[in-house]
Amino acid sequence: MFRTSLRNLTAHKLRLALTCLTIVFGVAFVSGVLIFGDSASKAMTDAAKHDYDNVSVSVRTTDAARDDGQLPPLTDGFLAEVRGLPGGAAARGDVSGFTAVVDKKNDLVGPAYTAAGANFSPGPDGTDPEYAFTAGRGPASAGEVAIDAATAEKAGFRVGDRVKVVGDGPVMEKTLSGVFTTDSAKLRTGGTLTLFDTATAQGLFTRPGSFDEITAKAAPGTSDAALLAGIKPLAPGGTKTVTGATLAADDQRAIKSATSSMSTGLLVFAVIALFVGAFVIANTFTMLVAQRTRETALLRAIGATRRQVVRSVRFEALLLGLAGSAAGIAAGAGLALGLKALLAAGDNGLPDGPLVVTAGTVVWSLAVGVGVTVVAAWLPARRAAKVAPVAALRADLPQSAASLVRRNVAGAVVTAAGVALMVLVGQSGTPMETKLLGIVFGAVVALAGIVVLTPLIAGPVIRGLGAVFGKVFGVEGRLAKENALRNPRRTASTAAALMIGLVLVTAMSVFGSSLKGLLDSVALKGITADYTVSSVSHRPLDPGIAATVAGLPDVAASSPSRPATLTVAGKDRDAKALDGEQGFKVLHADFLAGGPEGLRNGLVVSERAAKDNGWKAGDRVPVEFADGKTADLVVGGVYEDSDLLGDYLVSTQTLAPHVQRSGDEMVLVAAVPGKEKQLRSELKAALGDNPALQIQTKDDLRKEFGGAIDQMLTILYGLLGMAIAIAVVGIVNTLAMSVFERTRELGMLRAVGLDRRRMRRMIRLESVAISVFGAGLGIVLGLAAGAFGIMSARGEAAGLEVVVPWDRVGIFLGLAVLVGILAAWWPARRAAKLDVLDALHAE
Amino acid sequence: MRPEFPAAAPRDPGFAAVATELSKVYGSGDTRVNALDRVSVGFTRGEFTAIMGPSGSGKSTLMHCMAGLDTISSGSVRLGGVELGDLNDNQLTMLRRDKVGFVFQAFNLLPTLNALENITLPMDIAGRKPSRAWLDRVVGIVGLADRLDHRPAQLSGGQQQRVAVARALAARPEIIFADEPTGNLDSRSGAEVLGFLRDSVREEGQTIVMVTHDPGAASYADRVLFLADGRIVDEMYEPTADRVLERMKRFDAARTT
Repeated sequence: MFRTSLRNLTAHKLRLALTCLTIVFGVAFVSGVLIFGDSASKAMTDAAKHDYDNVSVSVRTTDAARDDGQLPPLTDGFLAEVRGLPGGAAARGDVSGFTAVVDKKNDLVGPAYTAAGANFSPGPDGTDPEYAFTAGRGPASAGEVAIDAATAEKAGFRVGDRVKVVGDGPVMEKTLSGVFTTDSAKLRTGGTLTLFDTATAQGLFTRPGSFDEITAKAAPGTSDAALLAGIKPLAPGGTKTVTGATLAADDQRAIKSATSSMSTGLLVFAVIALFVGAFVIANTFTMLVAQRTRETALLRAIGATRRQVVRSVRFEALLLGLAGSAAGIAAGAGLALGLKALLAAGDNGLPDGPLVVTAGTVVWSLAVGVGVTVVAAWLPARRAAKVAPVAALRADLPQSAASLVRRNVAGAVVTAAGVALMVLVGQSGTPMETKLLGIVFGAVVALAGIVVLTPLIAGPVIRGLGAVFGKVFGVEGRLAKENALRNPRRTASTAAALMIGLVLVTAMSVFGSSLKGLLDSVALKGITADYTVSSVSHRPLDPGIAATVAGLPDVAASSPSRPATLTVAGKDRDAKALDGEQGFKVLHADFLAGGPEGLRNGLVVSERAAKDNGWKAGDRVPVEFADGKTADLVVGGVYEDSDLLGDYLVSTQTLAPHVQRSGDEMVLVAAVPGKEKQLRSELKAALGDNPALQIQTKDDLRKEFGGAIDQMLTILYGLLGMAIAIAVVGIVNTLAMSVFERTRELGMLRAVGLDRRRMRRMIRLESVAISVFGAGLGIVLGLAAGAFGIMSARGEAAGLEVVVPWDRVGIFLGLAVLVGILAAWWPARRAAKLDVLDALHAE
Repeated sequence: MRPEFPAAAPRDPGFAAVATELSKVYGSGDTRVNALDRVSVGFTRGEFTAIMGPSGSGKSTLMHCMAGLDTISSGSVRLGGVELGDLNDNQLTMLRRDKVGFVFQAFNLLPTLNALENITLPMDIAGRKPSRAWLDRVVGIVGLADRLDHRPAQLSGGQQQRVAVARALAARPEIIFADEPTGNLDSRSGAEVLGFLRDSVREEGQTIVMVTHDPGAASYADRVLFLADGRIVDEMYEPTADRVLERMKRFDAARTT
């Protein structure tokens, strides 16, 4: 029997190739993701390896203290104490933050989020072991900087050049004292690093005499742990003291979790692709088995047992799975290379490194590919065994017209159960995360039910499509419709593969467009300013910028928006600080009680916050600031809930005494009426033509956020593209099989006068009917799922409304037609090329 | 020495189809087969011709070449005044669509269409509206009036072949080629189908060429052509089954000697 399996495989090479292709696609995706994950992880681990060679103990500000706007309490004095400890060989103080290098065209070198600045901390010999200078020397005064070699080369700077450097504040022009290379983590992959002398760096990033981090190197003979024990009692509050080994381990853990969460995310899509692949493979095997009915019957007639028939089909699946998976792993390595190249081109800051193909990847990919293929062939194999030996002797094979009733009932029950679960969970008061999980699970169940129901749905939909085809294309349109309807199960499973991809793509698109809608209706509506000034690195702005802007002649009003934390009734609350006088001239709030003037000396809160605390306008309430001091503030106003404003607003004047290091999220600026245009250039000039700062109108903001959402969607489309590609292979498979099965009919049609062009069109229309049915059903379900998801999330974000992306829906449908035409290309050619006489005499 | 028959190709406009010095060669070198060897024959309008001959005599090839289903190696085939050798694939398709009807041994109906849709299929493909009166008449001739909405799977073999005959007749082609039309039928159904074919010739003036190996079927024709080894070796007018059988036996005798 194994020989028949082998013969069957080799007898139909093309069909074999097509079936294999679906396995190759699926496995390529899985192995590609695994290989990419391993490679990225290794590259990142390698890149982070040397960082802690010179660190025995590190003292850093805790994250909490930094977030509260407190300056690190690591002073020169503390550094001196650490230096004085027995067992310490050396100690250094570091400060770092955002600075970027400006090239000769006044653009930032490299992406802003990988740009950094730090202090050059020379030892007694005048060198800093962290940095190896390839030219010049470290910065020795406020007028000098050093930059990393890659940046210097990219921007064409040489030692002695005047270099523009920007941070959160005004543009600085310095003399380039040296160019260096380093293993330091401060130089992020693909980024820039600028070194300042310590005092300048402190001025930029902390305040004179204060460090972000103090590190100490143990002297020979002293263990890191001993040094840690020595330093720990000296360390001020708000800091944590750990060994270099701990830091390295933390980093490794962070890298692992970052890469593994990335791999997990990608694997979700690989699973989707494989699921769709399983569909297509199962469908292909069903067709293969159906086609081979007579052969199977013959085998049974001459004495093969059912078991042998089943085993023969499964063995065939096993061989196919092995071959497809092996090719898939190779293709996956290519895919991983492509992904790396793509990310490298996007300047995403991923370090470079070799491809890592582990044994685990190979084993997993093989297991998955073979497993999916064998499982997908399970039912078809059993169906093959059910063929009665007498079928070999019958001239006309009875169509397996097993009733769809049972299937439809099962499908309806499962769909109803899924929908019921979605509705129940959606309306329940469970927290958002549990709710979301429940809804997703319900949606998956409902989708599975609908997949079961597709043969039922296919009938009316394709009849409807066929009516249009018949009107437009005449007889070949009608024939195409009839052909698509001939085997509803086959058409349905072929279309279902495409449907699954489209459900996800459409639902994501609904989420995207609804979020954009939310942005317009909520986030941007409240901005009455003409311009916002913010940092391209999305880091807090130096408060000096707000002051500079406020002093411009054409500015009618301006205010910073400064994040803060307030403790109210023992709970930390996110708050914002606005300018007490002008805040509500650049931002809009709908006051329910009190008014904008209440901000000046008091607290202005949202309706939600007022309700939570039982406050009303005019109440005097105790509020604790980040520095631990408490003040009684008057609730000067209550406004309608707004995602833009948040729940608690105070004035910058009220906040200022409690914060040591303040940074503004953005500065909002309203122009003197009629001066809107001028103001932009005025702002630009006043901010020193700083490329690290962006001056944006509401429209610019909309484009930026919208662009970010679109970019996310594009990535998702790309990932789901693999599932869709597999579905397209499935359509090609089905059509090729249909053309093969209907050879004689096609011959007759040619004999009675259907020319090749119209023959091709007939096949193409059948293909389009399948693809449009699958895509259309997917789009409808995706719209429903997306709308349902958005409506369930309404409680989380006021003003969230379902926005249907009609333009994208139109594009998807257009692409579905295109996919149908493309999938039919080869089968249609085959059909058209049939020799009439051969076809007429085909069995 | 075989008689050359007939000596000259008829060029009379009374012919629906004419072959002149028609040759068809398959393969080359050692595997070269002369399926048709300089055959010249004419099919008179309104005549029912049967082509007979032993297996491999070239009778099916002759029909395929005459019907524009197969290319010819040399010589000429004219169908309704059109030289087939000058036509490309598309033009041949159009010619078949407009001028030729087919009845196949295996019925070759589309399972997805009902009887009426199968009958009008060639006209649908041509984008022509069938004349209602003629369609009714054809349906009447083959006796299918009450089965028009049945799918092929719901019809017996005889009924299916009657649908196929109606399909060939409905478009009023210049000529109908029937390839063993009774080969898959029992004798009663076969007789019915042959009766319809003969009636359409007698009453409607249809031209029909039928390939068969059944002397009984050939006896329905006005004329029988006998092929052997790619040549026409004999013809017989007003055949009877017995006479045809007699003639066929001579082939067997020739082969055994």
